[in-house]
Parts: sequence; structure tokens; C-alpha cells
Amino acid sequence: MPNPQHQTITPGDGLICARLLPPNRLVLPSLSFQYPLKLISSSVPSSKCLTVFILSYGGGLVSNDKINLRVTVETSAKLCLLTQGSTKIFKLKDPEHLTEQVMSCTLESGSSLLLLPDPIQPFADSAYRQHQTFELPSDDSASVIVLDWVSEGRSARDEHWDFESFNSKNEFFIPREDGSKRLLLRDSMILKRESDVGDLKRRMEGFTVFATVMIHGPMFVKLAEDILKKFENEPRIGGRNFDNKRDFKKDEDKKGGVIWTAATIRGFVLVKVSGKELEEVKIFLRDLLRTGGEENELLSEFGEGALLCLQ
Amino acid sequence: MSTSLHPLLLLSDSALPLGSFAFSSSLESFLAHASHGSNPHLQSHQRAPARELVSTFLAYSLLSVSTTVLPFVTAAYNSPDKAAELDDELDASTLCPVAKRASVSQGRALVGVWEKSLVALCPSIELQACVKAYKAAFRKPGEAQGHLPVAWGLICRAAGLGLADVQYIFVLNHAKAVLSAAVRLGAIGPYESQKILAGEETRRLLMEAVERGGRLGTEEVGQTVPAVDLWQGRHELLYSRVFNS
Repeated sequence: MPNPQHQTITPGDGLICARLLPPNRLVLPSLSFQYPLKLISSSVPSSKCLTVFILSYGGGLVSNDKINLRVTVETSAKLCLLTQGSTKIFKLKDPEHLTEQVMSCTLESGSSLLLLPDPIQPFADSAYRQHQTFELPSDDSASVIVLDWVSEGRSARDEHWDFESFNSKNEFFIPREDGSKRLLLRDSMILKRESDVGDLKRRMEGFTVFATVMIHGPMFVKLAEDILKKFENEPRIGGRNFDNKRDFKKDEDKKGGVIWTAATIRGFVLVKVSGKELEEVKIFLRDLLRTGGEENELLSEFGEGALLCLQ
Repeated sequence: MSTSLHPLLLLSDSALPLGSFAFSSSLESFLAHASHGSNPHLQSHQRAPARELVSTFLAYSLLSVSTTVLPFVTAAYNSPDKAAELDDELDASTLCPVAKRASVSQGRALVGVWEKSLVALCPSIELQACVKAYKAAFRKPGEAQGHLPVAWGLICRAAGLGLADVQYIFVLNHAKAVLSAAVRLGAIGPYESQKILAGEETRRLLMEAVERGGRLGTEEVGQTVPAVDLWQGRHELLYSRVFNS
């Protein structure tokens, strides 16, 4: 077998391969990266999964940085991808030099992947494009949770969605019988400062963060169900909820400005969350992914450390 | 008179029985969130006149439609033989079941009306076969659902309309549906609704929607007004509701 590390040549390239050695030892047969990308494996032998931190030098990406990360989670392996702090996107220097992150993940049978990073934080005048693809195995036995979120920028410096452009796309594919790929799910957000419909900040309606959580696969069936149940039990808008003895407005005061929605789509549970304060949204997401208490599969299979970015 | 005027008028007629009256494209949810203060900016909308709210929402909605679904109208028009594949791709890109329900219910109705009433508009056997093949795919799980944008592009092609007209009527019909929902919700009156529709601002929004959406391929679609997804998804949570979306 050729050493996959030799394929990594251009700046920003990275490769992660997670493997399960029977009976139950998880290893990373390859972990390689080129500047400005940095990967750090933090797995201790006793941990329930492999954990890799995706970092960049200086905690951010500058104009013209291109990250290209390939991830393979082999049969029955478990991998958790995290970051250390938000990914800052710096100002665009040249109109041609947008900042880019491309991640292509291949999930083999029975494998599981968590991608639970900190939010992307695009600074004023930055231009960013992110494309993440997830190739599921043909028997659809892999499990995955992906969190993708973006904040308005440096709020403390009065930056509110002041970037040039932001484009984030997540796509999940599954092979058809003839070998071609079928698109199972596509989540895409295109934000551009320039628009004929007023400025971007106004269109964001006072929200400071938008988060999407995509959940799929046999490992997280119960978590997905619990989240849907939680949404169904949300207080009704515009009327007293006699069942819960609390109305929407009171709940509003208690929770601040988090609003969310959850639904089943083509075998996924998809959650969208937004709010006034990043911290509130973070707490909401942490509680959401911890739904189900003792029986929560995310915690029992991956451990508390998987939620590090939501602490 | 151009030969396409007759089919054009038939297909742009709001009397076309697609059941579009049942959907507000999340306007109802937007107005409910505005009046119940569920998001910070909308709280400042709280004292805004209803007309302003409706106009704001119409602009958001047209922008969103132009980058999420309009490219599928164009693609289905250009590749009528690939309608089922495009439909599956659109289905994968439609992340809200409320929006999906609205799209599929109207798309299937359009195919039904075509078959029962309008098929005589189409001189081409090949194009008729494309519509038939598309409809047959509804019965096979995982092939096609019958989403309105794909059905619209395909059927307007079969009816012999020009692409620019097809795109324009699609967004115009969307604007008409939103405004008609606004009237029935009592947010604006029927004269106000026609005034918005006839206004320069709306015409500009429609032209720009067509131009913007026309440039995008189906693989480039995406949400440009993220809050729309939230309002749409939270339509299910309205205590009382008039519309299905």
C-alpha cells in the first residue's frame, strides 16, 4: 500500500486516517499536514475515540490561505474533530485571494465521525469559502454529527456581519448501485455584503450567530429522536400553551434570544439555531447535544471531551 | 401577438388550480415572530406598520427564492430529460419539511393540471414524454417528489415559453402568492397589495432575482437569508395558523 503521506505536498494540505485495530484499539495510521494547517492528535489510550484538533497558525486564516483536508474514518473507527477557539478569518488582501477550507471525509461501514468545532469568525472585509463533503458507505451504516456555525465577527469592535463574503456548504453523498454518487443532503449558506436587498447586517435581523447541526446514522438514533421531541414540546408562538402552563413570551425572557428549529430530512435530523448572543447559542447547543441524559449516545460513545468546543 | 402569449397567460393565471393559496412561504410565521418579539431585530419591527413588514419580507423572500430554487427552474427548462434527477437534487437541498410540503404539493398539482388540461399546448412528443417520465418517477421511492421549481421549468418548456419569461413568471407568481397571503392575513388591504406588486421597487426586485438566480448552477444554490429557514421551520410552532407554510 502506498504511504498516503507522500500525497501531501501543497501548503494547507492535510490528511487524517482513523483505524480500528481489533479488538478495540483505535489508531491514526496517518496524520500529516502542511503550513498553515496544523493537526494535533490528543488521544489518550483510555479515551473512547480518537480526537484530532484542527488548528491554524495564530488561530486564524489569512487572505489566500487554502486548507485542503482529507479525512478517512475506516471500518468501525471513531473519530472526533475539534478546534481550539474560533477560526478567525482575516481581511481579504486581494480580490482574488479568498480564504478557503475544503474538507473531504470518507466514512467506511460502521464508522462514526463527530465534527464539533468552534464557530467560524469572519472579520470585517474578509472573504471565506468552506466546502465540506461526507461520503457515506453504500450500506449507510456510518454515523455522523456535523456542527457548522458562523458568528458575526468581532462584536467587541462593533463588527456585525461586515465581511465581504461568506459561503459554507456541507454535502453528504451515498454511492448508488451503479457506482455514481447520490446527493443525500446539501446545506449551503451564501452571505454577501453586496446585495440589492439592503445590507447584509439588516438581513441578519439582529442575530449574531447561525448554527446548523446535521445528525445521521444508526449510532445517534435516540439522540435524534430526543431532539425532535424537544422541538415538538417547544411552547407555541402566539398563544398560551395550556399544556405547559407557560406561554411563549415568558419562555422568551428566560432563554434570552435563542430560536431554533429541528426536522427530519432524508434520513438526517437537521437543527438550525440562532440567537442574539454567541454564548447563549453555545449553551443551547451543548444542552441539545447532551439531550437524553444517561442514554445519550454521543456522551457514551465519545465521552464528554467531544463537547469541548461547546464548554 | 406572439405565439407564446396564450400559454404564457394560462400559466401565469392565478386561477391555475395549484392550491398556491394554501401557502404563505413563511410570511405568516415571520409576522407572528414580529408581533411576539421572538427575535431582537423583529422587536424593533414591533411598532412598524404592517405594510413595511410585508415589503421587508417580500424582499427577503425573493432574494432567498432566487438563490435556493430558481436555478432548478432554469435547469429543468434546459434539460427536460433530467427532470427527475434535478428533482432529487432539489429535494436534497430543501432542508425544511414545511417548505418541502409546499413545493411538492404545488409541483404535483401542476403536473396534474398539465396532464388533465394543458397537454394540448405541447406539440412535441419528446417533451410530452419527458413530463410523463417525470411523473412516473414520483411513484418510485427516492427518485423524484414533484417539486414546483422543476415541474415549472419542465412544463413551461413543454408549453413552448421562452426561458426569460419562465423565470420571470416563477418569481412574479411567488411575489403574488406572498402578497395574497398578506391580504388574507389582514396585514395589508387588496389595494395596497396591488400597489406593492405594481411598484417600481418590486419590479426591480423581480428583475434582480431573475438575473441573480439565472447565473447560478444547481450545485451553487444556497440560503442567502438564513433567518428565513428559522421562520419557515418554526411555522409548525404557531399556536394558530391560517396557512400550510
